[in-house]
Amino acid sequence: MDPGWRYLGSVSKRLRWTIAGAIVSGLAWQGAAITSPLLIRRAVDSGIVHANRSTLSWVCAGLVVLGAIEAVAGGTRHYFAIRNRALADASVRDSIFRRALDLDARYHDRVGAGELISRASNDAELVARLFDAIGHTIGYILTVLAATVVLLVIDWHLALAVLAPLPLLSFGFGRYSKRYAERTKVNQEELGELTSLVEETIAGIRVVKGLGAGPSLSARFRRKSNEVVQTALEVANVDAVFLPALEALPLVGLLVVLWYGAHRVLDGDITVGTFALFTFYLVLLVNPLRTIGQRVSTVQRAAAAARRVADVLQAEPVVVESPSARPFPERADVRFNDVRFSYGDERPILDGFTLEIPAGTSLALVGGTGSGKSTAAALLARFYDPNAGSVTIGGVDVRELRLDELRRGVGLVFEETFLFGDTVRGNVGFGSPDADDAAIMRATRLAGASEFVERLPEGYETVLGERGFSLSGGQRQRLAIARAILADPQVLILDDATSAVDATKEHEIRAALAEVMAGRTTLVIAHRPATIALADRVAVVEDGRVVEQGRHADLLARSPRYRELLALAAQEAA
Amino acid sequence: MKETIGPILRPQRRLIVAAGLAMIGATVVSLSAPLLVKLAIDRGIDRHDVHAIDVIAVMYIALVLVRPVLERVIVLCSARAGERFLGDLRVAAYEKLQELSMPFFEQTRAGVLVSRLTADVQTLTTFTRLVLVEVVGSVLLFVVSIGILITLSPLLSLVMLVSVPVLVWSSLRYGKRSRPAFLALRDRVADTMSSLQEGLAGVRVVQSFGRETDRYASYRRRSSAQVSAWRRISLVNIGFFPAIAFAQSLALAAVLVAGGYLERQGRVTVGTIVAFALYLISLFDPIARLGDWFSEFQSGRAALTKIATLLEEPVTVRGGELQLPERGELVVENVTFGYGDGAPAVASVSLRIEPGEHLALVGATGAGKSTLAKLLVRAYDPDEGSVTYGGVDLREARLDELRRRIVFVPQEGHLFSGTIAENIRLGRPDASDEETREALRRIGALERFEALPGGLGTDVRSRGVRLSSGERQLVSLARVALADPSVIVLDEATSSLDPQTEAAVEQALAVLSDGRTVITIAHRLSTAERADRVALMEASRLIEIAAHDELVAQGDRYAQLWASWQAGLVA
Repeated sequence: MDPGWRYLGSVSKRLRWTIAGAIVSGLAWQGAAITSPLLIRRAVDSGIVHANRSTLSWVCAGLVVLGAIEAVAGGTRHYFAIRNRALADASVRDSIFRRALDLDARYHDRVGAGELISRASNDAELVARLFDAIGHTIGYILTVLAATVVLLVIDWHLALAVLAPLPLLSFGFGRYSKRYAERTKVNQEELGELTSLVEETIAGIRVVKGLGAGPSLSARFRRKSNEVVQTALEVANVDAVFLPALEALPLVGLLVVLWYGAHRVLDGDITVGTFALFTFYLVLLVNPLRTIGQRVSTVQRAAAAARRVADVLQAEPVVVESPSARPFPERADVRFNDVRFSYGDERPILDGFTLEIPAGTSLALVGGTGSGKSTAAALLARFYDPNAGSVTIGGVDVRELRLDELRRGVGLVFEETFLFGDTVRGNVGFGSPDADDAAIMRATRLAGASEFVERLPEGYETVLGERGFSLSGGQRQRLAIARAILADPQVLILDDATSAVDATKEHEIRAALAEVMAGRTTLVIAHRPATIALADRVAVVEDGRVVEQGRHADLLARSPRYRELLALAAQEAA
Repeated sequence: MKETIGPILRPQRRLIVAAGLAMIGATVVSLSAPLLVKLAIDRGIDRHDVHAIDVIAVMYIALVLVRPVLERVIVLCSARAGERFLGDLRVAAYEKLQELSMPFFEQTRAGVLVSRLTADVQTLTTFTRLVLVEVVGSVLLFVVSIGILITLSPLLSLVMLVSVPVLVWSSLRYGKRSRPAFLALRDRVADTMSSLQEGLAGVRVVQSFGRETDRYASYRRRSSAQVSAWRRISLVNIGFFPAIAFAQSLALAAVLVAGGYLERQGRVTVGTIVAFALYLISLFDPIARLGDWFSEFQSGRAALTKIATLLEEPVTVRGGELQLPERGELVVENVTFGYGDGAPAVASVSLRIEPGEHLALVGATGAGKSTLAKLLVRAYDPDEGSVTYGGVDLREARLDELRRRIVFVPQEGHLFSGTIAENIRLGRPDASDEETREALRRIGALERFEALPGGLGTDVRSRGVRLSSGERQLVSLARVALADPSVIVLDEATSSLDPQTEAAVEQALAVLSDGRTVITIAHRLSTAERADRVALMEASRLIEIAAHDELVAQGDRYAQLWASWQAGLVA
């Protein structure tokens, strides 16, 4: 079965009680609505035409009762509709977020946050609309069916004549929804291209402004926008055939009633009340048929959205905890044993990478971009699993360790820091929610950040993040280091974690780094010689393997390659 | 909102009028049916006049044939008007983005801007395509029905008034209670989305600290609050819509009772009563349906308001009239500039850069060097003082001219989807293939890109994931080479590249710098060492400016920095 439909099925199952509520109230609501014409017939035939007052009064009482039922059921239907909408929306969003948190780096590299956010908002909304519509659509379907049955029972001659075009309708439905789906898909693709152009423009606004590329991009945008308008109109053209046909149907029925029905009244086959009843039902059908027609697009869009949601939910994390997972070892010796790794099926990033960091010592990885340093760091924290070879901590393969303990045992500071929309205190304490103020301040001071934090408008209580106070790159990096220090991991990885700290300021935190690294297994990726020199040993990485190892001073003395690397990275070619 | 949206809507006015007329026509046709039923009963059935029934049937055939045509006109005209309006709105918003200056982009989250042009316009699509037609159609139906009812029988219409108190009371109550409920919902939605966005954007950090569970828990609290906000809305609705249905049956019962009485007195006919009952459906259905569309209508209006707010955003940097000379000196005269109300980021800076000179701006983060650079390219206008090029104040220069002469090159090489060639042509889309290749050749990067599987036609895919960061920088330098400006303001890249690529980027920069004025925001003092002059910023002020050697010999602040930088290299 189509994954989109299957997913809609699973959401329905979760919402079965409120859906049942929507169905029952929808049925009661339209049930009452379609019973009232029967009473009106009685009123016309015996109450008014035959001047029977008692009939008229009980019919009217009945109408008021029916009205009350319709009112209460209609209100309940509204309640369930909104409830289903809210619950379906939340259900889609929640499961996407939950799954995204469990998915590994490989998935996030490929899909990206923006894409997931659009799944969790736009697609969730489309699915929610479908659930909103259930009660009222089912009520309307009941109306169409019940009206058919009632009319057939009352006078099948006239009913057959009136309802003859209905089979045509179901045929039309099939064709309509197929064409609608095709053209909507084209339109959605065009819209997708337009959206990425907007995203790129805003992300690269500095380039756009810097080069004065505005007019040419605007022209491109206008072109693409016109294509979107064109394809949207193609969709409208399908509507323009189907919707009028749908509207015309009850009118054709009315025409038949007027002519054939009136003749039957004259011939004495039916009463005036029956005649009125037929016209009443046909007028009642106008709105339901129209709404059912619009549901075609609701269902199509929801199914397409559900497919995209199911795509995310079906993604399986590759990095999963082994069933026989072991606790994090006491002594954190780190070893890379002949590791091979590639991101896709392209050339391997790590190819025979072997390295050892004895517990409590530090090592600096040095090499050009793309040589595989950051990848090695990511493998140690088990963001990815190697294609061949193994990474061990304390002699245990990281794939055999309990994932939560591994993540707590290995602290990683990235070059690109991410701060949450929270206070400085909350951000530094992110990984250790139990830490007290003194510990937070100590970690902040060690990372060389206490000075500027204290100068912030509200100190440690200043709210940071996209909507909060904005810090410079170097300040952000120092907070990220504080966050890692506070978490107190056995193994610390600093992946270019001081790159944005001003060279003139870096020496200030160098002493702090040395203190943090003392007695802790540390992997440092850096370019500035002074930072590299902090590590006990240095390993030079080239093309995915370690080509040289030793102490910084020794390597400087004996390796021309090392000297060239440092000089190029930091001095001459800068 | 009127001033910004009005002009965008105006070109569609013919289509809108056509759709409106068709809608009126369609309403009249729908509403004529009960009238014909009345005629059929009173003239045909009551008087046993077969001929009258045939005449009425023929009249009705004409209407039935007209109706689908009108419906088609409505769908086509409203779709055309709606989609074209949205297209124009989108383009207007995009062009507005191009007009707005840097401060706006620094203060507004990228995600918000993207959703203005995408999600909000998308919301409006449903709005124009369905909601507007439904709402306008419903209102028309309502108004015309009332008119017909009154002409049919003023007496029966009066009877119908019994339902009015119920309607008025529930509408007033609904109006009062629904607004705060919808506003509260909007706040909850924003809360949920920002929590979600943050969790997804920071997923690496969340995972590396193993905080998935409590991130999810804190998100879930907000998500549940959103569900509760919806529930409040549903409770408000539960009171309103049933009241309408109830009012309808009350009116119906009243009409039947009074109608029966009046008919016996001969003051109304059976046909009139039946027609009346039918019209009651057209009267109340629209109100009930308005309720179904209400929340859509609200969100459509909100989206339109948000886009209008973007369009109304004041443009702070506008172009002047003057041309700029081919070559000229850049003069910063006593410039002060601050972001918002804080201390100025650049305070009383004066500086003169000769044509062809290479100047390095150095200083700690926050010292003001980036801000000064932005003032040089007129990303901002100074609060005090002036920046002139070749004697022309930048504020008086034509903006396109300014951007052609003075180019800003940010650190990272940002790529747009499309081919490498298209990316290079970003600033000059009319450049030929040969010119594009020539630009690459000049900076020494032609071979590198031609060696790619698709050559210059290689698709860089979204945001250039296939090119390395060094290659991206080369593309961005090739753009500059093709644009051929007189002044380059360069924000030096901080991320380090592998030695070969680094060397290639260096060579490209050297070629580009030749014969042009270059101002570099230098993050490494080795860059400063090679510049003609070095300008040192400290605490928003320009404190030293001279050639590197002179400053070192002088033995002040720059000399100290240089010493510590060198110590860093050899330590």
